Amino acid sequence: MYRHSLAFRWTALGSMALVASLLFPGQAAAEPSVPTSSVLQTGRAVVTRQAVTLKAPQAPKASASAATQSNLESKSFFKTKAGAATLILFGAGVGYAVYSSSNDRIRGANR
Amino acid sequence: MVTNMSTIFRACVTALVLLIGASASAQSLSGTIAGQVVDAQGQVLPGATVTVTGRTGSRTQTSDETGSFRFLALEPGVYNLKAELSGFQVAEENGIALSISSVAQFKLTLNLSGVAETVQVTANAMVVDTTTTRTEAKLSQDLLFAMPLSRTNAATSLLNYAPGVNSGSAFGGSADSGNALLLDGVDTRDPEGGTAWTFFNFNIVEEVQVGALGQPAEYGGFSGAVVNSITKSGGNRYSSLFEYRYTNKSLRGDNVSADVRRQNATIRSTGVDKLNDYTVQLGGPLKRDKAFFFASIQRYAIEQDPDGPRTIRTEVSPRFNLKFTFQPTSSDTLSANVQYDQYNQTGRTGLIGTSNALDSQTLQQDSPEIIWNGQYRKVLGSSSFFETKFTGWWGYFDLDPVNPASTRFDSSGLATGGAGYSAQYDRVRNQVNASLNRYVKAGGTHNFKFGVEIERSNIRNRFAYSGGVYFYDYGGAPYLAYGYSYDVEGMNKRQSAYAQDQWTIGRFTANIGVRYDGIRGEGSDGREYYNTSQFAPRLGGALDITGRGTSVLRAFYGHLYDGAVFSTWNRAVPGIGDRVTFDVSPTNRLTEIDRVSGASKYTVADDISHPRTDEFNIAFEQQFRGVWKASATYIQRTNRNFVNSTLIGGQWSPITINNPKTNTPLTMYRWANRASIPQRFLIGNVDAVNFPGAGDVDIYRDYRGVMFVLSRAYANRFNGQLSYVFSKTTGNLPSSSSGGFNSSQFETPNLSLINRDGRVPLDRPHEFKALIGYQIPKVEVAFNGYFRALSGTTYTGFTRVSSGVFNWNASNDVFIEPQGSNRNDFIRILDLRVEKVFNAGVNRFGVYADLENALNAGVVTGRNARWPSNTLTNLDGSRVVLLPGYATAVAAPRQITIGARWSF
Repeated sequence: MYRHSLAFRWTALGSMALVASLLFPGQAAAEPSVPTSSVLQTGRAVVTRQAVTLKAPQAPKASASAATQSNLESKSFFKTKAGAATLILFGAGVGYAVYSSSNDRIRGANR
Repeated sequence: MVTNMSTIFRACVTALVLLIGASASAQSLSGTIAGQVVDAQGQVLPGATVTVTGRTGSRTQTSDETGSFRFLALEPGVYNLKAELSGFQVAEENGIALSISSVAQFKLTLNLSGVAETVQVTANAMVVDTTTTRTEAKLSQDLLFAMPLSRTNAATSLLNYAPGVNSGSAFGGSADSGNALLLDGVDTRDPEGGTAWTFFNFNIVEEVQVGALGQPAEYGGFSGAVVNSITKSGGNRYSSLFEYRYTNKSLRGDNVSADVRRQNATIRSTGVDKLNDYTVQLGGPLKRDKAFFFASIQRYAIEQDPDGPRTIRTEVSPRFNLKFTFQPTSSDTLSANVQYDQYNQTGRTGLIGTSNALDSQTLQQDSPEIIWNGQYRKVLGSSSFFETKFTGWWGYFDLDPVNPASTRFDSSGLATGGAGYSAQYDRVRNQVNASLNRYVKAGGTHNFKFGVEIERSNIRNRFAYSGGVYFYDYGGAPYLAYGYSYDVEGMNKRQSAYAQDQWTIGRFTANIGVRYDGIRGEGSDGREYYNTSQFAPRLGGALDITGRGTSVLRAFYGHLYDGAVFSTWNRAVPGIGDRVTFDVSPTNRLTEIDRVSGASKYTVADDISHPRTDEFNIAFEQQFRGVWKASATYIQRTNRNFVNSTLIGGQWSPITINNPKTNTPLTMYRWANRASIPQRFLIGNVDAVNFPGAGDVDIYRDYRGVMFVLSRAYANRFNGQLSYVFSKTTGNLPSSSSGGFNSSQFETPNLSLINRDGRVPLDRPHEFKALIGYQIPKVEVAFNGYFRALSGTTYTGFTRVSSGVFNWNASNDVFIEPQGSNRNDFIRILDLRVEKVFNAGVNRFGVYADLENALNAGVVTGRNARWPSNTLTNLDGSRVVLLPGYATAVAAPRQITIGARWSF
């Protein structure tokens, strides 16, 4: 007796979108390679390591190549398309939040 | 680096000087990378150049005569470590994820120069800290970014992901109020009751550290857990995040089963009708290696479908965060950050309860706030560093009725008019901290830390009925009206100091610490109402079992004292208005017929002791196969020094009523000398209470538990943490938020003596939690899930007995069976995030769906405990009769939230 229909339609849409994305995968994450069987001493431990991938690719900080990394360390970044898009989106976000802080404000009657 | 004991004395003097002028940074927000440089044969290599490079630049040291190095006071983040010496290959450790309060130790081996000039290793193993007594859970940026975590109230909701913590109660501690909620070390709790006050953007959090067990002396003001959320900072590299999240009511399921609906026709699947939430963030350098900024802006707008006839409850919260970091030299760091936000709400209920309030009978809320944090950190060589902070926040929330008319209740159970009152709640909290860390070699290795803290918090609460009164009509005709208001103020004053040492001798490290808290409470009349001083020992040891740093045995004993809260003594301050009863004429003319003075009837005992918890735990932790770590911990927590109020000079006589569940006589107690003594109460410790004519009761709440945790660091695209806690929380005082200090439970034996021993409501014998993530290669689709399976809360059958039967001030809900005799449904809920990731150079794009309660489990989380029944009146006058055990609440249904984000 659960009411699913509309939610399930959205879920189905989402699932189809995911399937579509599976069919057209994006560029794989550029993960740093790690030597196999290297010896890492952590804490006071000596740990023989398997081949492992490192920092989670989810994290924004993870996957910068050396060239783009240096680009991100210079103000010239803002002259690139990505930099311009960053400024536009950031400015729009700030602007709307400032507008909201005035427009959506509920003011206490006793203030 | 090697220092003799005379420096300890100087350090103590420094700490005392700081105590006079500043305050201590408890909870250092930095970590340490330390280690030793050796050659291939294991011989130490003095004179090697060791460089650590992180987000904000590099620091360099030369290894000392023992080949050792130590980089103190590093911001949390990812670091690369490099050692160089002429004639040897360069050795590097890259990708060291450093958390706050952690020490990452490395042995860098330099081989003689050969074919390969650099040996590079990337670190990601699970680190076992073999020197500390702390057992804690950390939510790293990777987990925060990937997992479908609740964002409703970041501080408290994140706490509940830790093992041993549920519904805000950590290891049997008071829910919410027992936990220290820190944002960059700023205590964000309401100084009145200790619950969360300030709210922040989930996306500004870099790392969350949940510490509960075995905490050293620098951590105070909690008897449950410490939740320290560390915010992001700028670095040499520009970084950004743009995220948008959306959901609506068509993405919500309905999990109320036909059986539940049959029991209680008023239950509906409520939840989010609409969510629009976006974040924009930008951080980077102002001057390379010297100055950095981080800015974050969020607009969080949510519409919810509330219980009852209200159609909507809304919140719009714009939030602005700005942080500057300045490093004039590699050993000096200044940072300043500020948050401004609003919390605009509509749809809160007022005098008219949830079951009957219409939209026009609700309150709207105005609640802006500002949080500030200024910090200076000085690194003094490789053996000490000093920190000082000035932190705090200001905020208020005003509640105003949408309709300013007085509320009119009718004898039929219906209500008209407005929400019925307006209120203003003002808060300011200021805190100054200072601390000094120092490493000393004397009979082993010492890591001393001294610190001081000074807190001043102001509270003011104002309340008044709309039009001064609310009405009680009889059969639709005016009958009576009631007037009441208050304006109370208080200030918490706390001075704290601590000293602790981690003293390592061979494989054993003794953790020795003591903490002092002096807490005073002053009213607006300048009078001191509350004054306690307490020393809390924190003692423990850690044994590196094998000497290889992969396994440790820990034991700890310590006293944990609650933070300073106004609620402990607020009933004693002036400012409460008289309670006035009016006769109301047919033309609504008021004639006063009764007045009860608002002058306080409460006095705080001079010998009061601050609420405390005694903790003992013993733990074993083992790392295996590099990326795995398992631990087992036995925990024992005993609560003491409960503060509550008791009736002064009361005499009680037994009476008998019928127990409606068993149809047998139940002995209760009537206030026998009400007519002959003034009605006065004493606020004091209620660990043992005598009720003349009724009996004695020892107040207690004890927690016993064993906790098993299995964690896996992120490797091969997979990470996770599984935990199981088996526990028992028994007592006669619940662990609900304010149960410990202002429930009035001990003013009458009927709420203290009768059937009160048993499992408290937040007792959860079985708790299993799993946080698991996997990202499928090639297609780059990530599945991250949080599954919890835990015992439901307990509830106890009661019957409501009117005040006349007891000769008491109000009706009492008296237990008719032992506390905790019944339990709500066992909970099994899965939250899931599915995300498709697109990587393009440094840019990461993600599109995801969060499925909260993905399986749409219709778990009953509350049941009617009132005997013989509880009756709800609908707006149309119809009534719903709830029998004992009938459902009153169901877990939130499945809600799908769609999100998109771009980050670099």
